[in-house]
Amino acid sequence: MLLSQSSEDRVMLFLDLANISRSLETKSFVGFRVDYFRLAKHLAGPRRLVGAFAFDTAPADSYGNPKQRFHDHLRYTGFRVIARPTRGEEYDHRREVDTSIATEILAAGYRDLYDVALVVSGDRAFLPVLEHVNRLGKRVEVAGVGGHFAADLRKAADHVHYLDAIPFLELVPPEHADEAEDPMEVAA
Amino acid sequence: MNAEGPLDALEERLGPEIRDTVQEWGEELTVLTFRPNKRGGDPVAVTPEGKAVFPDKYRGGDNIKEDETWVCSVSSKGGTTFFGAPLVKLDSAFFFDLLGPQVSRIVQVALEDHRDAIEPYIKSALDKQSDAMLKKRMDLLESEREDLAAQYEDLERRYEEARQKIKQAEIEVRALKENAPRNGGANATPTNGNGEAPEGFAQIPGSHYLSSGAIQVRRLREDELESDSFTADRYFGHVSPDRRVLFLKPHPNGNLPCVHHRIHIPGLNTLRPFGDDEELPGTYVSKHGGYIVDL
Repeated sequence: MLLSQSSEDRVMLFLDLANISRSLETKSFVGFRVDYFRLAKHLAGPRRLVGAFAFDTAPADSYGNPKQRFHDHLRYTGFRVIARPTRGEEYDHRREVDTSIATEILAAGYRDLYDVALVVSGDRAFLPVLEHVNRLGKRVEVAGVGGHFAADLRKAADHVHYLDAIPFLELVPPEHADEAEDPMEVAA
Repeated sequence: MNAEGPLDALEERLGPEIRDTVQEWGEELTVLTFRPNKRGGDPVAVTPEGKAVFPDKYRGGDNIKEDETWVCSVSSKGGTTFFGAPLVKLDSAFFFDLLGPQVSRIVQVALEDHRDAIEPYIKSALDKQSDAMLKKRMDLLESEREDLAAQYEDLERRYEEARQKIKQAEIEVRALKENAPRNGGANATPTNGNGEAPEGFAQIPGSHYLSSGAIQVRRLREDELESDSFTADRYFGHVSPDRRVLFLKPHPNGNLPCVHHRIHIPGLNTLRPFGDDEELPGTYVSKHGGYIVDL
């Protein structure tokens, strides 16, 4: 890594859940689930993780919905989940989620809430906002899965995390598959 | 004219050497400045006592010109008319030939007699000199201040770097202490299997392998790993998306049970097809409190 790091660096994580899910879908992991808590801790390292945002679409029928349970699960572990409501099949929800991510990155940057914006997504759509906060003096880091990681995004970042080699997929035996464990304990 | 008065004055002005000379002469000496005579004729001088003195033409008085100052031997004729024989002309050449102590003495006398007139000139010169010295000193101090400021900044930067290193070391020491009880039998050797950190962990910012040790991991079945280092009852298991790194961390609530040093890992065969009885390279990573197994 070219740029020096400090344990006092304030890292804010912006997690594009849909993008990571899509990136891992093609790798057909059966019997695993993404341990986002572990992933966030690994990416932040010894630095101060001052905020962790997870962005996704909200299910139309939230009650008892697996996605809703998953979001709540993330909230319990410390993530701030921002879920945009769905509005029908013809509506492009991804654009609204992406806009939401860009808005939070910009707003927090201008309010000087972080030193490092760590975006977990391989989507090229975030290139303009990352370039902008970089000009603000913020360090920009991106994390993505190979094959789903836009080259321009990697070029624009101060540091790139390749998720492929980071062990953050939790092995879940069948008898534990439906358990709603507190992931805080996982990484404790 | 009292012989002691002018001799003392002369000695006071020109030093003690003049006394011997005067004694040789055996006459009254005085310093006289000859002015033009208003009545015409030879120039005339006036003693401090108010006596008019004319050049003694029988004893070199012709050498005296108007507005010249001489040390003269004064004699009288009938006690009413005084004549001065010139001995030493007090001109610029005379003063240039004076010795150091004589000059100092003259200056001292001049200062005592004419302090009010001289002091403003001295003060002006001294002020200029002191201003120049003060400016030089201030420039020197300013230069020193800049040097010290640069040194201070450098020290501050080094202090901050050292502080960061200490903080990092404290974090690592804390991690080591926290993980020490779970370290099993693989905590002593400060090396890992192939001398390199597993790829995934090498990417973790600030991750270091302060205390890592190679362990022996054997794969006995499709979904079972065995190692003498697996001493906990339960483990959490994580793999990397490229299926090359398996991380096993001992934890009481882990969902992978471990019995007799054997961990049952459902789905292991999907990550790495089982061949013959095989050895897998493993490493204990104190930083993360668990074992890395290369698949």
